[in-house]
Amino acid sequence: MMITKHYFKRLLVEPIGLAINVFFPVLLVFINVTVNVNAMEGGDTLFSGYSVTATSIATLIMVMFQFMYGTHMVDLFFRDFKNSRRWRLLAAPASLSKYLFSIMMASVFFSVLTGVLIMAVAAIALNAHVHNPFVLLTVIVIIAVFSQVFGMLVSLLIRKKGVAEAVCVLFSFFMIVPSGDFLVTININIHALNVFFNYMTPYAQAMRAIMASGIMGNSVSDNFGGALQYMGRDMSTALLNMGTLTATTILLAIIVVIVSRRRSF
Amino acid sequence: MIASMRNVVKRYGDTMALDHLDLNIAEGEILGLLGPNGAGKTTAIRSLIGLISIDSGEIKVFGESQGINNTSIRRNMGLVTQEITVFTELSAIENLRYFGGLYGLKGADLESNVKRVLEFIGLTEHAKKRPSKFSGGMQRRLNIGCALVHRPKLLIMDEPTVGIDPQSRNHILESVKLIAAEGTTVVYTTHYMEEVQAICNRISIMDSGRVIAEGTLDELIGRIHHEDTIRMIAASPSDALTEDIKAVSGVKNVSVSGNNYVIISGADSGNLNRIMEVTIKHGGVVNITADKSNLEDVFLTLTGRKLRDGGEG
Ligand SMILES: Nc1ncnc2c1ncn2[C@@H]1O[C@H](COP(=O)(O)OP(=O)(O)OP(=O)(O)O)[C@@H](O)[C@H]1O
Ligand SMILES: [Mg+2]
Repeated sequence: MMITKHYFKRLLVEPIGLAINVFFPVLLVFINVTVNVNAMEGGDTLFSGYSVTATSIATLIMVMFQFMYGTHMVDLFFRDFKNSRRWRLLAAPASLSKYLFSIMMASVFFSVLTGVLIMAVAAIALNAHVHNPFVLLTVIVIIAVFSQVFGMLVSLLIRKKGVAEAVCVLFSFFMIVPSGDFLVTININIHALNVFFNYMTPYAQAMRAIMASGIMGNSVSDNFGGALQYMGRDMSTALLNMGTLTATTILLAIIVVIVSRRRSF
Repeated sequence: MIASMRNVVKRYGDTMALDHLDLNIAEGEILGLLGPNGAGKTTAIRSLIGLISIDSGEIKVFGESQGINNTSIRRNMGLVTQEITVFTELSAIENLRYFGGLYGLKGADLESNVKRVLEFIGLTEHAKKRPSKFSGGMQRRLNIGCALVHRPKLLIMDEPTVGIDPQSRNHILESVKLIAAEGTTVVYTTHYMEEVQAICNRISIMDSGRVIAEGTLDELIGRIHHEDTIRMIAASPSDALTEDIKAVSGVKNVSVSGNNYVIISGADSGNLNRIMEVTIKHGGVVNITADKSNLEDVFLTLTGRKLRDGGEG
C-alpha cells in the first residue's frame, strides 16, 4: 500500500504527464464537441434533453485514452527498473513482483480517476449523458487493468522506453481507427475484419458495453458503422461485452506471466 | 564475521565478473574494497546483497545463506548505489520517508529516523526541496542518507563519492567514520586509494574478479615493500657518521655523495628517528625524507598496472 501510494504520487507530481494524460483529453473533448455541434445544421441532436454529440465524443475520447494509459506502466517501470535504481529498490526487502503490482494498482487508480474526470467534465459542462454510471465505471476499471497489463507486456518485450510508449499509444489507434469511430469513416469490405474491429477488439467490447447500457433509446440499430453507433439499450449486450473484455484481460495477464518467466529483465 | 563470500564465481557470457572471490567482512569494521574499473566490485556487492544469482560458491550474511529470494536478510542491510538513484521528482524528505518505509519503518519511528538522517547528511534546511535543485555533493549525500533511515547493521557503499568536489568528499568520508563508530559495519567500494587509506580498517584489493591482496594498510604495504628509502642531507658528513648509520640495526645499505645520504632500511623499523639521532650527534640534519610506499605501489607491484589508468580522478 505504501509503495502504491508512492507511485500514485509520482504520477500526480509530473506536470508534463498531467498535461498529456489528463488536461489534453479534457481539452480534446471540449474542442471536438464544440466544433461538431457548431457544424450541425439545426443544432445538436438531443435525446431526453442530453447532447448525443457530447455523449459519443466524450465516451470515445475517454475510452481511447484509457487504452493508451499503458504508458503509465511503461513510464514507471522504465524509470525504476531499467536503470541502476533497480538495484537500490530490490536491495530493500520487497520483491520485484510486489513493486510491479504496486505500479499497476497506482496506474489503474490514476487512469480510472482520469476517465471519471473526463466523463464528469463532459456531463457537467457539455451536457453529455452518463448512461449507466455503474457500467461506465466498471468498464473503465476493466480497461484500466487491461491497459496496465498491456503496458507490462510491452515493457517486457521492448527495450526502448520511447518505442514502448509509442506502442501503447498506437495500439489504441489501431483498434479504434479501423472501426470507423475516430478521425475517418472507414468501410472495410472484408467481412471478417469488420466483425473483428466492430465487435472483437477490446475497444469494441468496451464501447459496446458502455453504449448498450445507455438510455439513448432503441432507435439506432446495430450496424458496421463502428462500435460507437450501437445505441440500443440492452443490458445483456452490455454484460456480455464486459464479460468478454474481462476474459481478454485475464488472457493477456496469463501471457504476461508466461513471458515474464521466460525473460530476465 | 558478519558476512562472507567463499569461492564465488559469477560469469557474464565469457566475462568472469567474479573469479573465485573470497571476501570476509568482520563486524564493526570499515572494509575497503579497492579496485580499478571493471574489477568486479559492483558485481561482488550485488551478489552479497542477493540481487544477482551466482554460478557457484557460498555467500553468508548474518549467519544465513544469501540468495536472490532471501528478501528478509535485506532488512538489515543498506545499499548506497554507485549512481545517484534518488527520486528527482520527490523532495529530499519524501525520498527518505519512502526508503525508510520500504524497510518497514512507520509512524513516529519513521519520522524520527528521517529527521536524524536529514541532520546527519546536513540537508535539514533543504528537506522540502527536490534533488534536481541540489548540487552534486548534496545529491550524493541524499543518495547515502536513503540507505541510513532504517539503521542497517551492514551498510554497503558503492563508490559513494564519484564526481564530487573535495569538500563534499571529506564530509562524506567523515560521515562514514561516524556511521561505523555507531556500530554499523561498512563495506566501502572505491577506486580512490586515498579514500581507503583515510577511513578503512581493512582493505581488500580486487582485480579481474578476484581479491589479490587483503589486510590492513600497513600489512599491505609491508607485504610488497620490505624496505624504506631514506634520503638525508647531513650538515657535516663524515666517515664516522656513515659508520654510525651503518651500525643502526635494520640499515642495509648507505651510499654517500657529498652531503647526500641514501639509506636503505627495513620498512617500519623506526629507523628514521634513530638515523636522525645519530646524525644530530654528528652535526645535524639539513633535510630528511623517507619514501613511503602507498596502495598504488601495492597494486602496481601485484598487477603490473596502475590502479587508475588515466582518465578521471
Ligand atoms: N550485466 C552485465 N552483463 C555483462 N557484463 C557485465 C554485467 N555487469 C558487469 N559486467 C562485467 O563484469 C565485470 C565487472 O564489472 P563490475 O561492474 O562489477 O566492476 P566494478 O569494479 O564495479 O567497476 P566500476 O569501477 O566501473 O564500477 C566487467 O567486465 C563488466 O563489464
Ligand atoms: Mg562498480
